[in-house]
Amino acid sequence: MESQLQSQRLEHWLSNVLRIGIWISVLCMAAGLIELFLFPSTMNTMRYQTLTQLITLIIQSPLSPASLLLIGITILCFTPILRVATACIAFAMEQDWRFVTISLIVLMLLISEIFYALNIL
Amino acid sequence: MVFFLTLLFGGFLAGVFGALLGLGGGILLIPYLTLLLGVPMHTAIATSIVSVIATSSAGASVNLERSMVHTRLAMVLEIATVLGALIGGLTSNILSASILAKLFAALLLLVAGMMLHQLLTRNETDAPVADGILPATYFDTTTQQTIPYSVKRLPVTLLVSLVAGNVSGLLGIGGGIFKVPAMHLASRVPMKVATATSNFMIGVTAAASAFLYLAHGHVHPFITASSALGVLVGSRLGATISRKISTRILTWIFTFVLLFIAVQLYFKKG
Repeated sequence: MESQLQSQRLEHWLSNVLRIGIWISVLCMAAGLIELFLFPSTMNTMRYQTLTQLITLIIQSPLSPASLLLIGITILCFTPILRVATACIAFAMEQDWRFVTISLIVLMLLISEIFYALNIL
Repeated sequence: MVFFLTLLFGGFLAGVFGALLGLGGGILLIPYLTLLLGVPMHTAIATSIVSVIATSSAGASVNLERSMVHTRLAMVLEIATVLGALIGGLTSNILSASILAKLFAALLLLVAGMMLHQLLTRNETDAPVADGILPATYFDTTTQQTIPYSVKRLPVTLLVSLVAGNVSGLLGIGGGIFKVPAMHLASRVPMKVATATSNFMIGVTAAASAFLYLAHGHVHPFITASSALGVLVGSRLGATISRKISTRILTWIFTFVLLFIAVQLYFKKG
């Protein structure tokens, strides 16, 4: 009974993480698209070649259509990673160390991918 | 505005049919973007990857509340899919667009073959077993019963997941077409749980290669956001109407559509 309750709590947490991530991302993307229709000339700023250009673009003009769209897309890409991190915390609270280790391995692989991507500058 | 509506519509169609046929939207979205709209192959794959994350996160949030996802099994299999996706994402950025198009055409042929096989060998489902590892239960709404099940032959499903992850990272699809049969037939996980668990996993698998595509500049914010929003709405609608309509005829038509697209992609120039 206790383990079933813990399992339901884990599912509830994960569900909320995904739902919140999706909503923030959709709001950013929708705002970016609306702004793009209001200022169509900003379409030319949509391309970037490297991650440095992408980060610079977001930092320099965070409310531009391109930045809002990229922020939305990036949040969306981070949602599953946050979901793995949440599962890891939930497993730790259940003291299920085997699954804490497994989720840490998945998390480590995902984070190493981000670091690798950041090195391609 | 017209281009935006075309992207939104394409994403919407891919989402609806993907959900109706139990596939991710990518298998339709990539040919739509490359063949009809002339979007470069790498950008189309990156767009599909982001769309896969969107559909997975939206669908999984619902499936989790219904306790249809085996989170522990998903976490184990994710080690294999994420590793596969990382290798796939790295390889994809090295390969030329024409090679990727030909590989995608081969994938479509394979998927069409699998769907044809499914159509011709229906009702070969095995009952869930209780003597495996990672025991769990789910509530079957059709029979109004709580069904206990467990996982058998995990190494086989792990190996298939590695391949599924690799194909996902390389060609931008979710990979559920490989994982669901493996979980159901090899590991004896009930079909509904296998589908929900696969849907839950594909977001993490896609995230494993998404940042590589972002870093290489293959993500076009406008194309990706417009298509992803379309897929998101379409997959929600597809999931709702899939409970009310028979998908058998649709699957037959879709199989031939896939074969047609495969030929078009294979002979596509550039």
